[in-house]
Amino acid sequence: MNELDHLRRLRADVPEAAPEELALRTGWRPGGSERAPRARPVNPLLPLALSGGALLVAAAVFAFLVLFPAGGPDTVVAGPADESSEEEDRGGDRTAAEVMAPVIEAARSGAPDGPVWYERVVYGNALGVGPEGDRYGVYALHTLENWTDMERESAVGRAVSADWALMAEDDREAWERDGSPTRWTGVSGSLSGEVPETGGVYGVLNGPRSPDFPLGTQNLTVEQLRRLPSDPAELAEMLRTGYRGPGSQHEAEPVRSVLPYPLPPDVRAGVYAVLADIPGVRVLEGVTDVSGRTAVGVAYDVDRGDLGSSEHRILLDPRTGLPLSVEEAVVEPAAADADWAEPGDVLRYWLYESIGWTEEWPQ
Amino acid sequence: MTAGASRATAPEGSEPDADVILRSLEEPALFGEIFRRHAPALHRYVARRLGSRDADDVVAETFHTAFRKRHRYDPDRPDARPWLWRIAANLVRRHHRSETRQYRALARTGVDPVMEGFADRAAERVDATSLSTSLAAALARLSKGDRDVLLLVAWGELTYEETALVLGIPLGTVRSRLHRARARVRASLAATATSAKEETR
Repeated sequence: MNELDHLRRLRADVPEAAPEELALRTGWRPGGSERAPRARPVNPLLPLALSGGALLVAAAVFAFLVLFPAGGPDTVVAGPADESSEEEDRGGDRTAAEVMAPVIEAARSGAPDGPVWYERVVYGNALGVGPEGDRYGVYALHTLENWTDMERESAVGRAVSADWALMAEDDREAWERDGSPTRWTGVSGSLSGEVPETGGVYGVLNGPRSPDFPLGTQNLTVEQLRRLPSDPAELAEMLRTGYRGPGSQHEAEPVRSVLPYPLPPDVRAGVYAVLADIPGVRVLEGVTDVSGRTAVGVAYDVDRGDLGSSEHRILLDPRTGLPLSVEEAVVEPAAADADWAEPGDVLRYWLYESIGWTEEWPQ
Repeated sequence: MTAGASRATAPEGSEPDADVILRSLEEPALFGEIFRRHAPALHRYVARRLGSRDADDVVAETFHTAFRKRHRYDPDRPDARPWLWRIAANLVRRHHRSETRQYRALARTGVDPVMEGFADRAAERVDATSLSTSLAAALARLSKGDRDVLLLVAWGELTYEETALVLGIPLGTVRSRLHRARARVRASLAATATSAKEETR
């Protein structure tokens, strides 16, 4: 008996069902409506823990703690998520308004303790790499910092680093079969065709410039941002209709775009109230972001036809009322990605490692 | 052929799949005959790879897709099997990582998560024989492409030519992938046998 014969005996007791039974189980009939796929858990992933990215982030956080001592914005150390959080609480029977109430309140009470709005964000974009027939996912990672002085109406920023990480631990074996590379070329979907991206200038401040805040088809000035209404109904009118840009695929998308802006506390509270009130959004409670931080928030689906469909998640810190991350997880992968991306994979994310008001300004 | 499996083709003397599909453009209900002929074997193959519940999903989506695209079916191909299995193979690939996890679980514990889906075979769920665990360990380590070829041949009972059609790869690639995959499975079995011998000394 050779290895193929042994293999043929493995799981040989899986029975063959009759067509009538299968038609019942699958709900299939010619021209019938499509069967709704079973809900799949969205896996909180640990991309930063899988590569040199973890070290870089830890070093950056250490530097930032020195740069912003007590009183500066909250910082986090990216690290493994608590495995117990894999089972998400989708809010149970609680309404979005109930789940969001504490975070709305936290946002409202988050008085600025400095004129400078600082954000340090890691953008992760998953791309398929490796040989045909054995592709796997890696993140192209970009870390960026931005400072906006709302009093002087001045902004500076810098690209901190470009890095990579395996998309999921399950990709490790395929990566090892590929020779454990740390750089990929000719990658479709990468700006430079490479992972990590090349051609950027890192560590050098750019600016100062006048800050502006894109919203739909407009660019808001500092003054316009300050004067946004805090009343959710008025905000909703502006965000959901007036500023809805071309290509917006969901009512929540323009709302999402203002989250990292230096909004006055009562406006931020209003924005979250708008978010909670959008029809069809799902509540996320007791979940973690890609770096393992506990979050609450909302999720909604965006269907892009042949380009696949995804669940967009807006995750907020219930303690500070500030954004933690925005994540886009696969519901159905695009046909071109189906050999390396699975339902639940986070294909893109914006991880706000640090965000908030400070008095510090970079030298 | 493995006991309990059937190789789905049009029954001898009956209308070829291509003709049924063509007629189903006018009478959609006729496509049910394609489901009747091919769904059982396809479901069993997918269930062996992913488990019963995911197999239900894959088969449902395969036939929905096939039904929607039947107007593009090549009438020069009388047998619809490669066409259907190609759709299913793409869907199975979306489960590559969960499939790998199940092989790893079997390799580690001797308990096969796939067999847990078949309640009346509860007694057979635990298969701690070194043979099953080393086979599972080898399958977990194979690339997607190698695993597809190996299992389409071993479990799907497809010929090399059919496997090439299903995966959209040249026949030579089927042969080389199969050769490589078999060598890896063989090495895994040999390592287990060596280890077992040493333990009995």
